[in-house]
Amino acid sequence: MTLFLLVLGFIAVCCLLAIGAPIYLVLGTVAIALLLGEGYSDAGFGQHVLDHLNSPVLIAVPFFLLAAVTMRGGGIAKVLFDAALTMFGWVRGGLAIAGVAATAIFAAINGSSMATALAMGTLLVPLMIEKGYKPSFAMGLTAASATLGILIPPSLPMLLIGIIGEESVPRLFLGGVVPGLLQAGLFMAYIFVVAKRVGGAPMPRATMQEMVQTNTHALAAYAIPVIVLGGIYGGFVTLTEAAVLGATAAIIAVLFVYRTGSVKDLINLFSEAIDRTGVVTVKIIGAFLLSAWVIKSGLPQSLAQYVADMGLEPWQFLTFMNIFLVLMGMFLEGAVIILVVLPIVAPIVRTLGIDMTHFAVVMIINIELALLSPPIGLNLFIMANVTRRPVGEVIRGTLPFFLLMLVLLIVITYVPIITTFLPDLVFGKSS
Amino acid sequence: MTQLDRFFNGFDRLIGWVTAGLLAVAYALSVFGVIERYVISGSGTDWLYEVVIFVVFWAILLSVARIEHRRAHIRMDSLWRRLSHKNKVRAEYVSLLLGLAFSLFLVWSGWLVVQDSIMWDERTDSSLRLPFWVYYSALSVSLSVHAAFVFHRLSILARGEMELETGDLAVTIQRTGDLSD
Repeated sequence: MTLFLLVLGFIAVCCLLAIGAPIYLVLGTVAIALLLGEGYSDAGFGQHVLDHLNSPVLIAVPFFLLAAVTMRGGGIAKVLFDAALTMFGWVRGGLAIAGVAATAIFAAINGSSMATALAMGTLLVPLMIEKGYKPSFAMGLTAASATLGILIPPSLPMLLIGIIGEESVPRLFLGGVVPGLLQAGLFMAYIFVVAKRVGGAPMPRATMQEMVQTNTHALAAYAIPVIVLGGIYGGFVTLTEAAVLGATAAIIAVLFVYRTGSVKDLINLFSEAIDRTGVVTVKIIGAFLLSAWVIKSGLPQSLAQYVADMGLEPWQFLTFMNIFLVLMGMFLEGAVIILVVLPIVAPIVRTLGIDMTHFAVVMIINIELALLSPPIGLNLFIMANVTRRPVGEVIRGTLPFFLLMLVLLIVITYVPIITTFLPDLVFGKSS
Repeated sequence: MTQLDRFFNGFDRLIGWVTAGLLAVAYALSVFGVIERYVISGSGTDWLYEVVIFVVFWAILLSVARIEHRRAHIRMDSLWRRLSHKNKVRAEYVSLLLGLAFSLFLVWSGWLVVQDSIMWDERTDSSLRLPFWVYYSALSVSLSVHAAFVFHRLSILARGEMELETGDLAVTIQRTGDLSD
């Protein structure tokens, strides 16, 4: 019966996706139909949604988004870039390397790849083209670097994984730090090697005074990740409070330090932050309903048993998941992948003894790849839109970075200690 | 623009102000909570975080309802774009009718939870002892508003005045969508 319903549900999901039904509706209506088929009580639906929405992580989301929308247009990206340029500008490919460094720091104060792509794309790409870099390289680098926004904490997809997978968000955040720095380092090394071919001539070396001046100016921006992450890991504040303080620091930096916004903008920022939270939440409601069916059907347990009977090793499972997620990433956006896949595979991950933080980071890198995968890689479209150039040119420029990220994915998948070292050090081994 | 359109546009704006206002209140309370813990110790507001949860929860769920009005739900449109206009209209009818059924079903289900909560007089642990039905009713209220907006969209579609072309995916998401990627 369950298998029959599963096949029926799968066909319904495909049909609804094909006719362009909203994602929340695809997940929600199919789940409701399946649950009614299994005799779920009427009140059970509302109770399940309400119980699961009662999560401190969800309460933190609008405040993280408030920080993201405040920083997106607030000139913070430029301040960070100017500071990075004084440090890296003089080396071969220095402008591009400074771009990656600034993006990595921006990612640490912003949990969204799209917001990072928008902020850095408008700033970095025109400047790189003006200084003689090939346009496709400039766009590819920026689109790929922007994906750091979801790997380096704070990260909105990691919040989603925390909500759906019921995993500690501070632990997940910490798991992304080393892989994020590795990705940035890999990009920088690649830029250094190919700089001559892509037009990356060194810039004049900044004087010590210029370096001190620009970095002092950037202090307010540097302070944001210190406040958010220091607050969480120092045990001073809760996740929600850290998000609130991050938003406060961003508002202060934008309004009073860099003066790129006004108090009048505040209400619009609050309005945009809560609206964007709504878009995420409605998909989460759909996913919760789907997870209710998944739990009731016993599907994860059956799959976990099947996987155990097959004698599958964790690395084999992760290899399969990587192939599956890369393929899914070509057609579905990252948040949807998390909402659909995680409720089903989380029990298998635990059965196989894979650290959930490790799996989450593997998943996030797959989502990063999804953001760069045609036909619906969102960062590709954002970059093409920002620069008014063809998507094909962006894809061409992204390809080497996509391959580098695939290498990173393979390394991270098979060497879990890269991900788990830091969380284990701070929180102890996960049970 | 009909009278109905004007009413729903105004209603949408009103909810927008309410949700932004609620988030601002929750924000102010959270900042106060941190200051209170480290600066004004022992003032005894054990209910602060509870109120923040209630307020943010209402703000989030009310904002869910607004998405329908702005047709800002995220959807896979790679296949949908290839449909003829006539088929796009049909597909939109299916989506909207399903949306209406989904909303009304959850309004009903949420209401049952509210009734249970009132019957058992469920309350929070803080000194305020907030009734849980206030929290639970957010689902039914917001999805009632959502259903009203779906109904309005159905009326626009029936008049043949709905703008179906979503244009550039990135622009649409940048303008209206989420930043969860």
